[in-house]
Amino acid sequence: MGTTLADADLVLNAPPRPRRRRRRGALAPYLLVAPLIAAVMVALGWPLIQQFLMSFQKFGMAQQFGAEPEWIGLGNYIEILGNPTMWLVFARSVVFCAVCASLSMLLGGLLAILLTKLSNWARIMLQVSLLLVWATPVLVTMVIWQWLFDARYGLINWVLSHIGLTGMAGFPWTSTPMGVFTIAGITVIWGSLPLIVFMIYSALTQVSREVLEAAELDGAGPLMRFWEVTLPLITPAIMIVGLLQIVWDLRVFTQLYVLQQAGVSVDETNLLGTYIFRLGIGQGQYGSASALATVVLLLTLLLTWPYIARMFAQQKGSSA
Amino acid sequence: MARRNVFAAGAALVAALSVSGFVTGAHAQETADLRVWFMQDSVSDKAAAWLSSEFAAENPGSTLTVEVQPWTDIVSRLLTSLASKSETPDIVEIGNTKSTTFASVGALADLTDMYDQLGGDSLIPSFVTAGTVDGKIYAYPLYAGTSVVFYRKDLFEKAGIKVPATLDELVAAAATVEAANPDGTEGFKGIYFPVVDTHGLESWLFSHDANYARQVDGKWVSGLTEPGAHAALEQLQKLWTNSSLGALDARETATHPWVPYNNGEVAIFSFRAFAQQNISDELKAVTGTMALPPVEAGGQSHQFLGGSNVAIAANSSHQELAKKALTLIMSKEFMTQLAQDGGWVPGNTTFADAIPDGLVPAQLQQQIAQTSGLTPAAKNWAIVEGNNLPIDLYTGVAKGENIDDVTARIGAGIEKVLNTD
Amino acid sequence: MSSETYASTAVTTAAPAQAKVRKRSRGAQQQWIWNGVAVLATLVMIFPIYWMMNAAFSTNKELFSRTPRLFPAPLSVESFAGILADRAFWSALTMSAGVTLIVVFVAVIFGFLAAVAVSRFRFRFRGGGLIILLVLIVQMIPAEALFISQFRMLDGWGLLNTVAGLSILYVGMIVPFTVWLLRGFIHGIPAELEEAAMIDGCSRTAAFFHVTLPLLGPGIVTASVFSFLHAWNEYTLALIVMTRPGNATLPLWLQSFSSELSATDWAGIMAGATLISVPVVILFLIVQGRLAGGMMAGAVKG
Repeated sequence: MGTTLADADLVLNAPPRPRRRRRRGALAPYLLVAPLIAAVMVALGWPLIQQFLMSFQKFGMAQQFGAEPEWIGLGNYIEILGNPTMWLVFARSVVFCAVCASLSMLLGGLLAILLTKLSNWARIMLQVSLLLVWATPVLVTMVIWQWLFDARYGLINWVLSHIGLTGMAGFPWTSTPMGVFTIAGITVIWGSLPLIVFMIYSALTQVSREVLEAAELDGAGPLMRFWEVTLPLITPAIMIVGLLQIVWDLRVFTQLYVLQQAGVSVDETNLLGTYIFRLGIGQGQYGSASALATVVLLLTLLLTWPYIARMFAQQKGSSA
Repeated sequence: MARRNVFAAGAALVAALSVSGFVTGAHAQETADLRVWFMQDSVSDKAAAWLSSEFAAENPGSTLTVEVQPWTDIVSRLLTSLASKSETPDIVEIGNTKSTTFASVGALADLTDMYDQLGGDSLIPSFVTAGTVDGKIYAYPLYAGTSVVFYRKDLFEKAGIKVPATLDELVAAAATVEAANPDGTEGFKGIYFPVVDTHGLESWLFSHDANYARQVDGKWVSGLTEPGAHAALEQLQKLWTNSSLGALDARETATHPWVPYNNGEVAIFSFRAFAQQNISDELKAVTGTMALPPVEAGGQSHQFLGGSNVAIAANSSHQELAKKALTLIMSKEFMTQLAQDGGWVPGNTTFADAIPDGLVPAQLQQQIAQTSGLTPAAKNWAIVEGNNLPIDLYTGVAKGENIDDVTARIGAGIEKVLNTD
Repeated sequence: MSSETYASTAVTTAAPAQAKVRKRSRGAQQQWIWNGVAVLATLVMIFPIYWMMNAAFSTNKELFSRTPRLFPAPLSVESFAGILADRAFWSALTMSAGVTLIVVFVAVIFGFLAAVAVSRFRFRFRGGGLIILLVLIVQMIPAEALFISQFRMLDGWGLLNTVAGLSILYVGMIVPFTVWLLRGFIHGIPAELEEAAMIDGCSRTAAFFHVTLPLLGPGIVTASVFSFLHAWNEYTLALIVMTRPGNATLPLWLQSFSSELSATDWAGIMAGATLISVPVVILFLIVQGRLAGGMMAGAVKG
């Protein structure tokens, strides 16, 4: 891991191109990034430091209301790492994330390719519909989908029971873990498609026509052209979107939290986001929740690091 | 309506008189702008306005603002806001099952010495218990709402069913009326009693003298493995498997229990008394109401009594003024308005006479309140509910799982949460 | 924009040769198949939104029907009328608009400055690598545990229940993203353009404003849209920071439709949700063309 980090650093410190010879104020760039650093430090950095300190304390509700916190060293970490529930939740989150991220990337990629093949009117129609989906707040999304999946008054059970699946009439989706994960998965995928489609489509439109035609003259079929010419060119975009997707889907919170409140077993449906929230604000064990959050951050980094490193390596390759 | 207006005028007159009396007697004191948090739909606008103006009149220079809070995620908001010195509300309404949690962590001010002044023994006892930690009282009862069983008198009559006098008879009545289906309604079911209505369901436990957990030698022990709990859950399982509509409905859907009732799809449902307003006009005449029947004829049932306590934030920097405001909230005028406008059983039961008679007789609500039971008064009980453990219990039972397996599993879960510091 | 170029290239390359014509007619046929698939995809994507509006234009009684009402006829505007007459809605709308405007403005300026630093100046941060890393790590932080620390920090500074307090948190969370989006853009604009303008007698600043900034349009639009969505839709931080009813933002206001002491007003929620989405949709439709371009630079050159 250390070496890849160094590699990445190497890219960042790539030698300046000759045209940047001009002298500039040495201070100016620092002044320009200062607001960024300040904003991130205030909103995230400082609270993160506080949270990190809290993770070494026995910090519960009583401490929140003024009692002196007790330093307990690695106590919270030992408790969390030794708790099988945490690993179960982690594993569940990874599976949920893998399913959602891969499905949404696949569907998103297909829709993006579809966009390049459409007449103007059809393209604009599909784009506008994606924009509408993107503009829908998550809370609203949840309201809509819960209503669609309602056992008795929802459209989905009505349709299912009318196309022959009579057993589905009145099926209580929100009371079984699988039902809840199905709804959560659908809402997550539906909600993330617009961004994926737009980004991949943008990358696709960058693929030069000439290169493709040259490949066609060389006798490459459409599939071959896609595989040999298009795909390598859009890979950086796919990598970034995919990575964001993985990170987002790993810590899905709102969708699941809302669904849990409809009345399903919390223990059987917790993912990392809801698990941390319930431990922290839900149960007032802020110390443990902080330690858990730190562990989750590290695990996420560890899990995605190979991917990030590959992305950097690719960038290095393409910029060279 | 007319009666209400007359009373309002009277109250205003009383208020005006008392105002003039107080103004002359007022002496120099601290002034402040108090913030009072009431939950959505609990206190009428009129009552809130009365409280503000009355407080301002009694405490010249000070004001009182009622801030109505939405229910969703209120615990998160309370846990953060009450810890702030500057942005804490001075007075808060807290759900009765959550009072113990907030009282035990030091979020609320000790108000033990106000017990007699605020109503003493007329205060709803189980609510005072919920607000008491180590002998000190931190929260007083604001209002209570009872669950009531609504049923179709006409269908019962056609099916030849008497009003159930025991829980077993209620289970049987649901089955009989469903089998008879007197109006020939398609998809007709006996009862609507979804598992997410845990407070309605735990009344079955309480009536069997059971509870989720009991304190034994300072430790919480599951009460679900006791025979009483088993009997209650067995009855419920029978009800759900044989004659119930949508037992596993989502919470939001279950907040409309009168929908299937009004459609004629069920003959019985149980919900909080305010459901009476939503029963369709055609059915009002043929709807009967009753308390949950007891285990044995002539016995006593014990229903869960939902509702709220009211408390002063420990972080409020205006403790004296807040106490004055609390006195106003617990006063006859305010309590009476709670009963009149909201139909609630007021925290001080002396004023329960003001509950308007509707489909649900005021006297029935009072009777249910007097014999009510309460979920375990444990510091961590709010967490048990927040983690949906009671819903898990009833879901397992409704799905037809073996009752002993379900109670063993959920009981262990409850013990684990309750015995964590 | 670029998609139009795509289409026009297709037209110009069409040669009159017979073989090509035959190929084109087969292509046209294929095009119709693709368009058909697109119509299907559009319907699937848009259906939940249609269903929301269908519910918004119904009464609660109509919603609770065993047979779903597929079209909102007769149209009921009851819910909308109720909301538009509700002062709490207008107050929340004002609050959300205020917070969002501030966040968009500040996040774009901050993001822009930092983006200039990393792409125009030679110093440690050169290259997007660190910025991407920052974006990713910010996205990875489990926000669910951070609420408490963020709350305590704002409390200590006396910024609870203030627009400033909420905006600070929002800006900090979104600004790495805006830097990343804008960086790709500024990088894509050759510095030679500026230099040429400077040779023509412009000052560095003037050159930047006259030459570079206009080219940045799509990037700024994209960054604004991301910031807008974040500030407009965020719920949990608003829940704990904005506790006075007069300070509620739209997502908080939407929660007032479900209460433990009365029935959830489904039609009301749906109408409220529709109204919340309307400004966003309008904004999106206005900036649609530029958004596509903005995504391109951000994503491709990331």
